[in-house]
Amino acid sequence: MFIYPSLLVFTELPPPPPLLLLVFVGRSMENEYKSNDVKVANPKPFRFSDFLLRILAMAATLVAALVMGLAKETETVPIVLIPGTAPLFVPVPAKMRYSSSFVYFVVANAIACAYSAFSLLVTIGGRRGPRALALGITILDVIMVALLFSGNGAATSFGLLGYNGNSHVGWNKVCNTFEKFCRNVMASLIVSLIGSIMYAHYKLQHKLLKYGFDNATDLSS
Amino acid sequence: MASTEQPVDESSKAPVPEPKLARGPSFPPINLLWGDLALRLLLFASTLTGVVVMVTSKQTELLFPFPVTKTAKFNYSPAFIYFVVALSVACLYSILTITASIFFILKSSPSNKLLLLVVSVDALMAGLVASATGASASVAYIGLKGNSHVGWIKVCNIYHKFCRHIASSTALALVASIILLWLVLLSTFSIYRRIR
Repeated sequence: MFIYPSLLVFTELPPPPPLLLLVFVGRSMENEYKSNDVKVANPKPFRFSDFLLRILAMAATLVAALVMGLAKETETVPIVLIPGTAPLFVPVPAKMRYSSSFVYFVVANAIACAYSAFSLLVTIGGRRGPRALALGITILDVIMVALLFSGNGAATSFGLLGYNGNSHVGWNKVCNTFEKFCRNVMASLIVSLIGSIMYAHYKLQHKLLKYGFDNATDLSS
Repeated sequence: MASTEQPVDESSKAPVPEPKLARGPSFPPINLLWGDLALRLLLFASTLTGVVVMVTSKQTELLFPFPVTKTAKFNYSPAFIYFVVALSVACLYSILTITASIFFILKSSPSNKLLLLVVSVDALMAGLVASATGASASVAYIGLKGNSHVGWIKVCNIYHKFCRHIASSTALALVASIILLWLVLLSTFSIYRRIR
Protein backbone atom coordinates (compact mmCIF):
# COMPACT_ATOMS: atom_id res chain seq x y z
CA MET A 1 0.00 0.00 0.00
CA PHE A 2 0.99 3.56 -0.51
CA ILE A 3 1.75 4.81 2.99
CA TYR A 4 3.85 7.80 3.77
CA PRO A 5 6.73 6.12 5.61
CA SER A 6 7.56 8.61 8.32
CA LEU A 7 4.04 8.66 9.68
CA LEU A 8 3.38 4.97 9.68
CA VAL A 9 2.74 5.33 13.39
CA PHE A 10 -0.55 7.07 12.84
CA THR A 11 -2.06 4.30 10.78
CA GLU A 12 -1.59 1.77 13.55
CA LEU A 13 -3.88 3.12 16.15
CA PRO A 14 -4.91 2.25 19.69
CA PRO A 15 -8.49 0.98 20.09
CA PRO A 16 -10.93 3.88 19.73
CA PRO A 17 -13.29 4.94 22.50
CA PRO A 18 -16.68 3.14 22.34
CA LEU A 19 -18.80 6.14 21.34
CA LEU A 20 -16.61 7.00 18.37
CA LEU A 21 -16.45 3.34 17.40
CA LEU A 22 -20.22 3.22 17.22
CA VAL A 23 -20.22 6.15 14.82
CA PHE A 24 -17.61 4.54 12.60
CA VAL A 25 -19.30 1.17 12.44
CA GLY A 26 -22.47 2.90 11.34
CA ARG A 27 -20.62 4.91 8.75
CA SER A 28 -18.75 2.01 7.26
CA MET A 29 -21.88 -0.12 6.97
CA GLU A 30 -23.66 2.69 5.22
CA ASN A 31 -20.73 3.07 2.90
CA GLU A 32 -20.69 -0.58 1.94
CA TYR A 33 -24.37 -0.49 1.22
CA LYS A 34 -23.89 2.54 -0.96
CA SER A 35 -20.99 1.00 -2.78
CA ASN A 36 -23.24 -1.66 -4.33
CA ASP A 37 -24.96 0.95 -6.47
CA VAL A 38 -21.92 2.71 -7.84
CA LYS A 39 -19.86 -0.44 -8.44
CA VAL A 40 -16.79 0.51 -6.52
CA ALA A 41 -14.22 -2.20 -7.08
CA ASN A 42 -12.64 -2.00 -3.65
CA PRO A 43 -14.76 0.07 -1.29
CA LYS A 44 -12.89 1.73 1.53
CA PRO A 45 -14.93 2.30 4.65
CA PHE A 46 -14.52 5.50 6.52
CA ARG A 47 -11.05 5.34 7.99
CA PHE A 48 -10.56 5.94 11.64
CA SER A 49 -6.98 7.05 11.01
CA ASP A 50 -8.17 9.84 8.69
CA PHE A 51 -10.61 11.11 11.27
CA LEU A 52 -8.03 10.99 14.05
CA LEU A 53 -5.43 12.66 11.87
CA ARG A 54 -7.73 15.60 11.19
CA ILE A 55 -8.55 16.01 14.85
CA LEU A 56 -4.87 15.79 15.78
CA ALA A 57 -3.93 18.33 13.10
CA MET A 58 -6.63 20.65 14.41
CA ALA A 59 -5.40 20.24 17.98
CA ALA A 60 -1.77 20.75 16.98
CA THR A 61 -2.42 23.96 15.05
CA LEU A 62 -4.67 25.26 17.84
CA VAL A 63 -2.05 24.56 20.51
CA ALA A 64 0.69 26.11 18.36
CA ALA A 65 -1.34 29.28 17.77
CA LEU A 66 -2.29 29.59 21.45
CA VAL A 67 1.19 28.94 22.83
CA MET A 68 2.73 31.42 20.43
CA GLY A 69 -0.02 33.99 20.86
CA LEU A 70 0.10 33.90 24.65
CA ALA A 71 3.88 33.82 24.94
CA LYS A 72 4.91 36.92 26.84
CA GLU A 73 7.76 37.68 29.17
CA THR A 74 8.98 40.82 30.88
CA GLU A 75 12.59 40.94 31.98
CA THR A 76 14.51 43.71 33.73
CA VAL A 77 17.51 44.49 31.60
CA PRO A 78 20.44 46.62 32.71
CA ILE A 79 20.93 49.51 30.29
CA VAL A 80 23.93 51.78 30.55
CA LEU A 81 22.85 55.23 29.45
CA ILE A 82 25.98 57.16 30.33
CA PRO A 83 29.29 55.27 30.39
CA GLY A 84 30.81 55.21 33.85
CA THR A 85 27.56 55.49 35.78
CA ALA A 86 25.57 52.65 37.28
CA PRO A 87 23.34 50.79 34.82
CA LEU A 88 19.64 51.53 34.73
CA PHE A 89 17.32 48.55 35.23
CA VAL A 90 14.47 48.79 32.76
CA PRO A 91 11.66 46.24 32.37
CA VAL A 92 11.59 45.11 28.73
CA PRO A 93 8.67 43.01 27.49
CA ALA A 94 8.97 40.35 24.80
CA LYS A 95 5.76 39.67 22.93
CA MET A 96 4.69 37.76 19.89
CA ARG A 97 3.29 40.96 18.37
CA TYR A 98 6.70 42.59 18.08
CA SER A 99 7.66 40.32 15.22
CA SER A 100 5.74 40.24 11.97
CA SER A 101 6.91 36.67 11.31
CA PHE A 102 5.35 35.44 14.54
CA VAL A 103 2.12 37.27 13.75
CA TYR A 104 2.03 35.57 10.35
CA PHE A 105 2.71 32.23 12.05
CA VAL A 106 -0.18 32.67 14.48
CA VAL A 107 -2.58 33.75 11.72
CA ALA A 108 -1.57 30.82 9.49
CA ASN A 109 -2.08 28.35 12.32
CA ALA A 110 -5.43 29.86 13.26
CA ILE A 111 -6.63 29.65 9.65
CA ALA A 112 -5.46 26.04 9.40
CA CYS A 113 -7.23 25.19 12.65
CA ALA A 114 -10.49 26.76 11.53
CA TYR A 115 -10.26 25.04 8.17
CA SER A 116 -9.54 21.73 9.89
CA ALA A 117 -12.74 22.01 11.93
CA PHE A 118 -14.68 22.93 8.78
CA SER A 119 -13.27 20.02 6.77
CA LEU A 120 -13.97 17.63 9.64
CA LEU A 121 -17.61 18.65 9.53
CA VAL A 122 -17.70 18.32 5.76
CA THR A 123 -16.06 14.90 5.68
CA ILE A 124 -18.34 13.55 8.38
CA GLY A 125 -21.55 15.28 7.42
CA GLY A 126 -21.30 15.43 3.67
CA ARG A 127 -20.57 11.80 2.92
CA ARG A 128 -23.37 11.58 0.42
CA GLY A 129 -22.31 14.71 -1.37
CA PRO A 130 -20.85 14.76 -4.85
CA ARG A 131 -17.26 13.78 -5.31
CA ALA A 132 -16.56 17.36 -6.40
CA LEU A 133 -16.74 18.13 -2.68
CA ALA A 134 -13.82 15.76 -2.13
CA LEU A 135 -11.96 17.54 -4.91
CA GLY A 136 -12.55 20.90 -3.22
CA ILE A 137 -11.34 19.55 0.12
CA THR A 138 -8.23 18.17 -1.55
CA ILE A 139 -7.44 21.51 -3.17
CA LEU A 140 -7.90 23.39 0.10
CA ASP A 141 -5.71 20.82 1.86
CA VAL A 142 -2.80 21.58 -0.47
CA ILE A 143 -3.23 25.30 0.08
CA MET A 144 -3.20 24.73 3.84
CA VAL A 145 -0.01 22.68 3.53
CA ALA A 146 1.69 25.56 1.71
CA LEU A 147 0.33 28.14 4.18
CA LEU A 148 1.43 26.20 7.25
CA PHE A 149 4.87 25.42 5.87
CA SER A 150 5.53 29.03 4.90
CA GLY A 151 4.43 30.20 8.36
CA ASN A 152 6.71 27.62 9.93
CA GLY A 153 9.63 28.68 7.77
CA ALA A 154 9.14 32.36 8.61
CA ALA A 155 8.80 31.83 12.36
CA THR A 156 11.66 29.33 12.49
CA SER A 157 14.09 31.64 10.75
CA PHE A 158 13.09 34.49 13.06
CA GLY A 159 13.46 32.25 16.08
CA LEU A 160 16.87 31.11 14.87
CA LEU A 161 17.95 34.73 14.60
CA GLY A 162 16.82 35.29 18.17
CA TYR A 163 18.61 32.16 19.32
CA ASN A 164 21.92 32.66 17.55
CA GLY A 165 21.93 36.27 16.48
CA ASN A 166 23.81 37.32 13.37
CA SER A 167 27.26 38.77 13.94
CA HIS A 168 27.70 39.90 10.33
CA VAL A 169 25.02 42.56 10.52
CA GLY A 170 25.21 43.13 14.26
CA TRP A 171 21.95 41.55 15.34
CA ASN A 172 22.41 40.36 18.91
CA LYS A 173 20.78 37.22 20.22
CA VAL A 174 17.95 37.76 22.66
CA CYS A 175 17.28 34.24 23.89
CA ASN A 176 19.83 34.54 26.70
CA THR A 177 17.60 37.24 28.17
CA PHE A 178 14.12 35.97 27.34
CA GLU A 179 14.51 32.29 28.13
CA LYS A 180 10.91 31.46 28.85
CA PHE A 181 9.67 33.29 25.77
CA CYS A 182 12.13 31.45 23.57
CA ARG A 183 11.17 28.10 25.09
CA ASN A 184 7.50 28.82 24.37
CA VAL A 185 8.30 29.82 20.81
CA MET A 186 10.32 26.66 20.26
CA ALA A 187 7.55 24.44 21.66
CA SER A 188 5.03 26.20 19.46
CA LEU A 189 7.20 25.74 16.37
CA ILE A 190 7.66 22.03 17.01
CA VAL A 191 3.94 21.47 17.58
CA SER A 192 3.07 23.40 14.44
CA LEU A 193 5.61 21.43 12.42
CA ILE A 194 4.00 18.20 13.60
CA GLY A 195 0.60 19.60 12.63
CA SER A 196 1.75 20.59 9.15
CA ILE A 197 3.35 17.19 8.57
CA MET A 198 -0.01 15.69 9.51
CA TYR A 199 -1.64 17.90 6.91
CA ALA A 200 0.84 16.76 4.26
CA HIS A 201 0.24 13.18 5.30
CA TYR A 202 -3.49 13.64 5.15
CA LYS A 203 -3.08 15.10 1.70
CA LEU A 204 -1.41 11.88 0.61
CA GLN A 205 -3.96 9.67 2.31
CA HIS A 206 -6.98 11.46 0.97
CA LYS A 207 -10.05 9.49 0.10
CA LEU A 208 -10.14 10.69 -3.47
CA LEU A 209 -6.54 9.75 -4.09
CA LYS A 210 -7.01 6.50 -2.21
CA TYR A 211 -9.88 5.68 -4.48
CA GLY A 212 -7.81 6.44 -7.54
CA PHE A 213 -5.04 4.23 -6.24
CA ASP A 214 -7.29 1.31 -5.49
CA ASN A 215 -8.84 1.44 -8.94
CA ALA A 216 -5.57 2.12 -10.72
CA THR A 217 -5.29 -1.32 -12.22
CA ASP A 218 -8.87 -1.23 -13.47
CA LEU A 219 -8.53 2.01 -15.36
CA SER A 220 -5.05 2.24 -16.76
CA SER A 221 -3.93 -1.25 -17.73
CA MET B 1 -16.13 -17.51 -25.78
CA ALA B 2 -15.16 -13.93 -26.11
CA SER B 3 -16.13 -13.62 -29.77
CA THR B 4 -19.62 -14.94 -29.14
CA GLU B 5 -20.20 -12.73 -26.14
CA GLN B 6 -19.07 -9.50 -27.66
CA PRO B 7 -21.91 -8.75 -30.14
CA VAL B 8 -24.48 -9.55 -27.47
CA ASP B 9 -22.73 -7.15 -25.14
CA GLU B 10 -22.72 -4.34 -27.67
CA SER B 11 -26.32 -4.69 -28.76
CA SER B 12 -27.95 -5.22 -25.35
CA LYS B 13 -26.25 -2.61 -23.21
CA ALA B 14 -24.72 -0.24 -25.68
CA PRO B 15 -25.69 3.00 -23.93
CA VAL B 16 -24.76 1.88 -20.42
CA PRO B 17 -21.15 0.64 -20.63
CA GLU B 18 -20.07 3.25 -23.17
CA PRO B 19 -18.54 5.69 -20.66
CA LYS B 20 -16.84 2.79 -18.93
CA LEU B 21 -15.27 1.62 -22.17
CA ALA B 22 -14.13 5.14 -22.87
CA ARG B 23 -11.76 4.85 -19.93
CA GLY B 24 -10.27 1.62 -21.21
CA PRO B 25 -7.05 1.24 -23.16
CA SER B 26 -8.64 2.28 -26.45
CA PHE B 27 -9.27 5.86 -25.35
CA PRO B 28 -6.40 7.80 -23.82
CA PRO B 29 -7.13 8.82 -20.23
CA ILE B 30 -7.52 12.45 -19.42
CA ASN B 31 -4.25 13.83 -18.12
CA LEU B 32 -3.74 17.46 -19.20
CA LEU B 33 -0.13 16.68 -20.02
CA TRP B 34 0.68 19.81 -22.03
CA GLY B 35 -0.36 22.10 -19.22
CA ASP B 36 1.68 19.95 -16.87
CA LEU B 37 4.75 20.27 -19.06
CA ALA B 38 4.33 24.05 -19.43
CA LEU B 39 4.00 24.52 -15.66
CA ARG B 40 7.04 22.34 -15.03
CA LEU B 41 9.11 24.38 -17.49
CA LEU B 42 8.01 27.54 -15.68
CA LEU B 43 8.93 25.92 -12.38
CA PHE B 44 12.38 25.05 -13.70
CA ALA B 45 12.92 28.60 -14.96
CA SER B 46 11.77 30.27 -11.75
CA THR B 47 13.73 28.03 -9.37
CA LEU B 48 16.91 28.24 -11.42
CA THR B 49 16.65 32.02 -11.66
CA GLY B 50 15.91 32.23 -7.94
CA VAL B 51 19.02 30.23 -7.05
CA VAL B 52 21.25 32.18 -9.44
CA VAL B 53 19.98 35.57 -8.24
CA MET B 54 20.44 34.56 -4.61
CA VAL B 55 23.95 33.19 -5.10
CA THR B 56 25.14 36.24 -7.05
CA SER B 57 23.93 38.70 -4.42
CA LYS B 58 27.35 39.37 -2.89
CA GLN B 59 28.01 43.05 -2.24
CA THR B 60 30.98 44.81 -0.66
CA GLU B 61 30.37 48.28 0.70
CA LEU B 62 32.71 50.91 2.05
CA LEU B 63 31.33 52.12 5.35
CA PHE B 64 31.71 55.82 4.62
CA PRO B 65 33.30 57.57 7.60
CA PHE B 66 35.66 54.68 8.26
CA PRO B 67 38.15 53.10 5.85
CA VAL B 68 36.48 49.70 6.33
CA THR B 69 34.77 47.50 3.77
CA LYS B 70 32.07 45.09 4.80
CA THR B 71 30.64 42.31 2.69
CA ALA B 72 27.08 41.03 2.60
CA LYS B 73 26.71 37.47 1.35
CA PHE B 74 23.83 35.07 1.30
CA ASN B 75 25.71 32.42 3.30
CA TYR B 76 25.96 34.68 6.32
CA SER B 77 22.38 33.73 7.16
CA PRO B 78 21.21 30.12 7.68
CA ALA B 79 17.77 31.05 6.30
CA PHE B 80 19.28 32.01 2.93
CA ILE B 81 21.38 28.82 2.86
CA TYR B 82 18.22 26.81 3.45
CA PHE B 83 16.56 28.80 0.69
CA VAL B 84 19.30 27.98 -1.82
CA VAL B 85 19.28 24.29 -0.91
CA ALA B 86 15.48 24.03 -1.09
CA LEU B 87 15.29 25.79 -4.45
CA SER B 88 18.11 23.68 -5.85
CA VAL B 89 16.25 20.54 -4.82
CA ALA B 90 13.08 21.87 -6.46
CA CYS B 91 15.08 22.72 -9.61
CA LEU B 92 16.55 19.20 -9.88
CA TYR B 93 13.11 17.74 -9.24
CA SER B 94 11.67 19.89 -12.03
CA ILE B 95 14.34 18.65 -14.48
CA LEU B 96 13.46 15.08 -13.54
CA THR B 97 9.74 15.60 -13.97
CA ILE B 98 10.14 17.55 -17.23
CA THR B 99 11.87 14.47 -18.64
CA ALA B 100 9.10 12.27 -17.31
CA SER B 101 6.44 14.59 -18.70
CA ILE B 102 7.98 14.59 -22.19
CA PHE B 103 8.18 10.81 -22.01
CA PHE B 104 4.51 10.63 -21.06
CA ILE B 105 3.51 12.88 -23.96
CA LEU B 106 5.57 11.00 -26.54
CA LYS B 107 5.20 7.40 -25.41
CA SER B 108 2.41 6.60 -23.00
CA SER B 109 0.20 8.39 -20.54
CA PRO B 110 0.96 7.78 -16.87
CA SER B 111 -0.95 5.22 -14.84
CA ASN B 112 -3.01 6.42 -11.90
CA LYS B 113 -0.44 4.94 -9.54
CA LEU B 114 2.38 6.98 -11.05
CA LEU B 115 0.22 10.10 -11.14
CA LEU B 116 -0.45 9.67 -7.43
CA LEU B 117 3.25 9.42 -6.71
CA VAL B 118 3.85 12.61 -8.69
CA VAL B 119 1.03 14.40 -6.84
CA SER B 120 2.40 13.47 -3.44
CA VAL B 121 5.98 14.47 -4.26
CA ASP B 122 4.64 17.70 -5.79
CA ALA B 123 2.84 18.45 -2.54
CA LEU B 124 6.02 17.82 -0.54
CA MET B 125 7.95 20.11 -2.90
CA ALA B 126 5.29 22.78 -2.48
CA GLY B 127 5.77 22.56 1.30
CA LEU B 128 9.54 22.76 0.92
CA VAL B 129 9.54 25.77 -1.40
CA ALA B 130 6.85 27.53 0.68
CA SER B 131 8.88 27.13 3.86
CA ALA B 132 12.00 28.42 2.08
CA THR B 133 10.01 31.43 0.90
CA GLY B 134 8.78 32.12 4.42
CA ALA B 135 12.25 31.78 5.95
CA SER B 136 13.91 34.03 3.40
CA ALA B 137 11.13 36.61 3.47
CA SER B 138 11.17 36.93 7.26
CA VAL B 139 14.93 37.57 7.37
CA ALA B 140 14.67 39.95 4.42
CA TYR B 141 11.90 41.85 6.18
CA ILE B 142 14.05 42.36 9.25
CA GLY B 143 16.84 43.54 6.97
CA LEU B 144 14.47 45.96 5.28
CA LYS B 145 12.70 47.39 8.32
CA GLY B 146 14.81 46.37 11.29
CA ASN B 147 13.23 45.47 14.60
CA SER B 148 13.39 48.18 17.22
CA HIS B 149 12.12 45.94 20.04
CA VAL B 150 15.20 43.74 20.06
CA GLY B 151 17.55 46.35 18.63
CA TRP B 152 18.19 44.82 15.23
CA ILE B 153 19.08 47.65 12.87
CA LYS B 154 18.06 47.61 9.24
CA VAL B 155 20.81 46.92 6.73
CA CYS B 156 19.08 47.56 3.42
CA ASN B 157 20.02 51.25 3.48
CA ILE B 158 23.65 50.11 3.17
CA TYR B 159 23.45 47.07 0.94
CA HIS B 160 21.09 48.16 -1.86
CA LYS B 161 22.09 45.59 -4.46
CA PHE B 162 22.12 42.74 -1.95
CA CYS B 163 18.62 43.55 -0.79
CA ARG B 164 17.33 43.86 -4.35
CA HIS B 165 18.70 40.42 -5.14
CA ILE B 166 17.19 38.89 -2.00
CA ALA B 167 13.79 40.44 -2.72
CA SER B 168 13.80 39.24 -6.34
CA SER B 169 14.74 35.69 -5.47
CA THR B 170 12.13 35.55 -2.71
CA ALA B 171 9.49 36.72 -5.17
CA LEU B 172 10.65 34.04 -7.61
CA ALA B 173 10.36 31.41 -4.89
CA LEU B 174 6.83 32.61 -4.19
CA VAL B 175 6.02 32.18 -7.89
CA ALA B 176 7.59 28.70 -7.78
CA SER B 177 5.46 27.65 -4.83
CA ILE B 178 2.31 28.91 -6.54
CA ILE B 179 3.30 26.95 -9.67
CA LEU B 180 3.76 23.84 -7.53
CA LEU B 181 0.30 24.35 -6.06
CA TRP B 182 -1.12 24.57 -9.57
CA LEU B 183 0.72 21.38 -10.53
CA VAL B 184 -0.82 19.54 -7.59
CA LEU B 185 -4.26 20.84 -8.52
CA LEU B 186 -3.81 19.85 -12.16
CA SER B 187 -2.77 16.29 -11.34
CA THR B 188 -5.51 15.95 -8.73
CA PHE B 189 -8.03 17.19 -11.22
CA SER B 190 -6.90 14.70 -13.85
CA ILE B 191 -7.16 11.85 -11.33
CA TYR B 192 -10.60 13.17 -10.43
CA ARG B 193 -11.65 13.17 -14.07
CA ARG B 194 -10.38 9.64 -14.57
CA ILE B 195 -12.20 8.10 -11.65
CA ARG B 196 -15.40 10.06 -12.03
